[in-house]
Amino acid sequence: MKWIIASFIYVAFTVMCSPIMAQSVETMDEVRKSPEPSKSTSAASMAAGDAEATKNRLTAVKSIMVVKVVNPDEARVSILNHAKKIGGYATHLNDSSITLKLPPEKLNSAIHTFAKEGIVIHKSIESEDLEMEIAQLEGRLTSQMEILKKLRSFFDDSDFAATLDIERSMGQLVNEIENVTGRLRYLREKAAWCVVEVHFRFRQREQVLYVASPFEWLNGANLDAFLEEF
Amino acid sequence: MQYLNRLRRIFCCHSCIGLLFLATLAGCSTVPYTFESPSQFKRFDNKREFKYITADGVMLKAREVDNYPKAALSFWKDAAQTHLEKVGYTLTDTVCFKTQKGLHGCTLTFALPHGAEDWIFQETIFVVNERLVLVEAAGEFGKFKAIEADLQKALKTFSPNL
Repeated sequence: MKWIIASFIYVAFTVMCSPIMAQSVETMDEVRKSPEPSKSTSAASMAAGDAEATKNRLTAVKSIMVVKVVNPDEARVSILNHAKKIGGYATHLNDSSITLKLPPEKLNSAIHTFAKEGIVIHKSIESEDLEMEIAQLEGRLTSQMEILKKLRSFFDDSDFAATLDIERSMGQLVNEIENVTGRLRYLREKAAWCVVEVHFRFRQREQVLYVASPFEWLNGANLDAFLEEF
Repeated sequence: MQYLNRLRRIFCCHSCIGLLFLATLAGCSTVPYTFESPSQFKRFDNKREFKYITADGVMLKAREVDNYPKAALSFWKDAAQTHLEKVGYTLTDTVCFKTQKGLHGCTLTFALPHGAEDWIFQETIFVVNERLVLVEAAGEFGKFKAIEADLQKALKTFSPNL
């Protein structure tokens, strides 16, 4: 019996440490039904509950805008009020920028509204596909839950030493599950909101460069030359 | 007879010098451009220089360059836009208009970082035969925005006395 348990633990850890365990997500329901330690129960149920919410959107969208406004304070208040109205919130505020989290379906209209605050100097939207990473993590979580369930079933027939081994293995497995669940929660949160950064001034990297023009007079048509000659 | 000829020569010579002197004087006193500046702008005293400034430092000046290679307003507008965008300026507005005296001009407005502030640099181009007349204005974003509408209106009164 001891040898069986030991070999099972070995197999369990081999599986646990493998990077990708792409298995069907439908086993998530079984995970919820199976009796597990309280920590993993909450983590698993949270993961399963969130699964439905992120079914349609598995991308992280980030938009950066540089909007030049005459009065940044007024613009910031107006942008913040609009964000709240559409179900978003601010995550970072300072004199020259505001960072918001907005519902993805409201992103386009929000960008349009924010643009009306002043002159849009820069606008970019980037989208990161999270679908693959989420699927991989869900697969790994499913396998780990299965292993945990099996390990629990060995408790009844094991002696003291084997029980200690099982317990140690289960402790490590639960840690792994928590890590995976945490990462899943983070990715789902990332996919559930769009991040919009609105800057009221040029960002540091947007610097003016010297570029020569074939037209002589244009080489002197710039702010530095203007200020020098004034 | 010789005496009369000498007198005539002296008179001609003096007249030419006088005329030259008068022409020079006239040239010095002629204002290079006519412009009804917005009330916020004050002009620097030197009459040959066309420089204005507001209390909070928005500056305006005009200069001339050769229209070489000879091209129309749209060509120079595009050239200026392309160059300044390449340099890193952000075009925020383009307005093409006709002055009260019928001269066509185009104003390109750019935003750019300048030190810790953001500034506006505005280039208005007029093509007057062989010359390009450039009216340039610059100032801190908020301060420039405060006078922008008045300035645009005033540019319609601009007339180069070439």
